[in-house]
Amino acid sequence: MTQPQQRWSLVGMALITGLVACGGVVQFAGNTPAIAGNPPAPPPAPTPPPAVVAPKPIKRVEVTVDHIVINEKIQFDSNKATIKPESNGLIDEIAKTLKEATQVKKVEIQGHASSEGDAKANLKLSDDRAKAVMASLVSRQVKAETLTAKGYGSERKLVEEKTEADREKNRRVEFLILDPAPKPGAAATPTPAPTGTATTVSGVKPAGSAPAMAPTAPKTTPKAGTLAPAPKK
Amino acid sequence: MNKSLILGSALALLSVASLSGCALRDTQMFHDDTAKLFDAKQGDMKACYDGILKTTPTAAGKVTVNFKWEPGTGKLLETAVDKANTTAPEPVQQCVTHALDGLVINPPDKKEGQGTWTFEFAAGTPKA
Repeated sequence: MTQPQQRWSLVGMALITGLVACGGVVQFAGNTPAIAGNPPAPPPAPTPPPAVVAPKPIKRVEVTVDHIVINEKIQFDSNKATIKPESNGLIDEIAKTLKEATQVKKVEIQGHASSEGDAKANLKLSDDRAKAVMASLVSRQVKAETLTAKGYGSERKLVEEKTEADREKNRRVEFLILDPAPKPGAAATPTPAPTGTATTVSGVKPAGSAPAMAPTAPKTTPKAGTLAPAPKK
Repeated sequence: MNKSLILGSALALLSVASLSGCALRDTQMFHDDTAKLFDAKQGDMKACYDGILKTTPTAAGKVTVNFKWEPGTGKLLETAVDKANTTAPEPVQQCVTHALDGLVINPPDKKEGQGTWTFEFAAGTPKA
């Protein structure tokens, strides 16, 4: 082989080598790091309804300067001096209050009636009811010597009776603090009336329907919301 | 002697010239270059996957694709999901195929690269 021939054969081999090197198939495999998705945030928890603040229970029994005020009626059987069972809780609370109010030495339980019906019967019924309340308190370990009970019939009305609602206001039981006596000039505690009615009330219509008897004491008509003076002993 | 030297130099230059028009990747090089390209597409895949999670929070699994790098052009061709080795639901598979669509390996290789690649998708913890 001449020198030029040798040269061209070498060039050809080089070209073939290059072409061969460029061809073929390469197989490979791989993977990528895990792709972490972000799920949507869960829906916000429903906003809890605002905490319902329980209304402060109206205190059924309160001690004021001159009264043990009860913001609920003591219920009696009709025309009787029998306290209805539904008032037992209230009587319990009154007894508890009286036992805790150690500064109170003497309380008069007053029964009051409306002017409807026979005044004498009303007087007796109101007196019986006052005594029934006293007995129920004594049965709950309230010292008997701290209590007196008296019925006033309709002589100490809270309001003039033009309607049945007025009469209902006048039917009541009051707890008047006799000892310690309120200081002179101390304002009498108005009877609260949370439901629009009189509070310390027996709540039972008087017996009979005869005209009311003339009161034995001078008839006074205190304004609504004021308290009658303590009866003279 | 002088002629032989000239001839050797010429041959060497010729060999280099003949090789300069194409890349010559081995398996590892194909893997590495492919990984770089695919990694760059992870953002697109994640965005697509997040979208799927909005409606299908449990969507997850593996997607295995087979493909080829076209010799000479470097284009990604014949991308196909390997169903036998895929566990992710169809929408997630589409996230992969769409993200890879149009990729080109550069420089192109004179050899055909036949690849199998697996992408794994996992639903993370939802942000509070």
